[in-house]
Amino acid sequence: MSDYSDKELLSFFRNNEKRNYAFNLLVRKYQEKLYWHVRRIVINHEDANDVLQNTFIKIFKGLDNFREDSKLYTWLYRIATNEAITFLNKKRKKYLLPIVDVENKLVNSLQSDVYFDSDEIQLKLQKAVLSLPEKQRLVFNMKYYEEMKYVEISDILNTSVGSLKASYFHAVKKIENFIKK
Amino acid sequence: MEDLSKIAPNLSKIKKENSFKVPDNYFDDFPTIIQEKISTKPTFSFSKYLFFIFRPQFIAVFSLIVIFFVSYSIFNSHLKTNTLSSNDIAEYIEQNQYDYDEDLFVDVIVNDPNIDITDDSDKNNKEITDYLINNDIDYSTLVNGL
Repeated sequence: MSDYSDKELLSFFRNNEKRNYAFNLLVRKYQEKLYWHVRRIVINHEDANDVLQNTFIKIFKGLDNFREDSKLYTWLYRIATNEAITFLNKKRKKYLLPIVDVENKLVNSLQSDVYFDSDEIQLKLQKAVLSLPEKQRLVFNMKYYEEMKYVEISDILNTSVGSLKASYFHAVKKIENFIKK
Repeated sequence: MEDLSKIAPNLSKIKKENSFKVPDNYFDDFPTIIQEKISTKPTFSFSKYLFFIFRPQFIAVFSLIVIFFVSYSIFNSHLKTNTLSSNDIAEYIEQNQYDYDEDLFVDVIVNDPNIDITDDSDKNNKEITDYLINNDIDYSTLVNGL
């Protein structure tokens, strides 16, 4: 794991001689966080791998234009989130599926995924999360699993903190009801 | 949302753990895969380059060709509808015979340069007259001869 700060990594990246080295460090620093973020959205490992690769290629192409108006961390998450959502939308269009069917497909994918290992209650929790509308699912994952602050989620999803709090509250209520069944 | 146990007691009892797994060494190999991907330069295709450079011109030429063929086919089909066979003309005249009189046909025939209306009988008469004069044959000789 790189010990360099984001500012240092950006500075290295802007130096042509250290460009590839700097990007390699950046990938090593953020790959796990972004992977788990993407994986919770697309569920399947192979899909998460594709999305993560596309995410880092986009980051590489766009990093020169990153103007540091926001934190590098939130900018990376924003790209990863958009890539994952775009991936699901493409899947939806490809199979002409309504949103509910895509979520059903994700549940099936979860159950057959060799890289998903859980007990019954964890599987039930994941099914409950997958039953949420897309935006609520994103907010719940980022708050509950990734333990992000509302301000950070707000920067990534470009949504007000108030709206995020409401989304999280509704998500938690729905999951609670799902688990109680 | 600080106290999860109050609003979602069942959820709060579930241990927060990551049930998703990755293949062995995935995160060790991933940076190398990305480095390879970003180092691979896009293959240069001359035809693609040419098409990219001349794309507006290609579109313009293609549009002109399409317009030409559409116009030509429309014009051709229009010509075809105006071409009538002799039978069609004859049938039409027969059905509308009262619209035409003899003088009209005579005018058309006389004014048509493709139709030769000179009477060969004049030419023949002149030759006969010359023969009769040259051989000193008069009307009474002819009558007597008959």
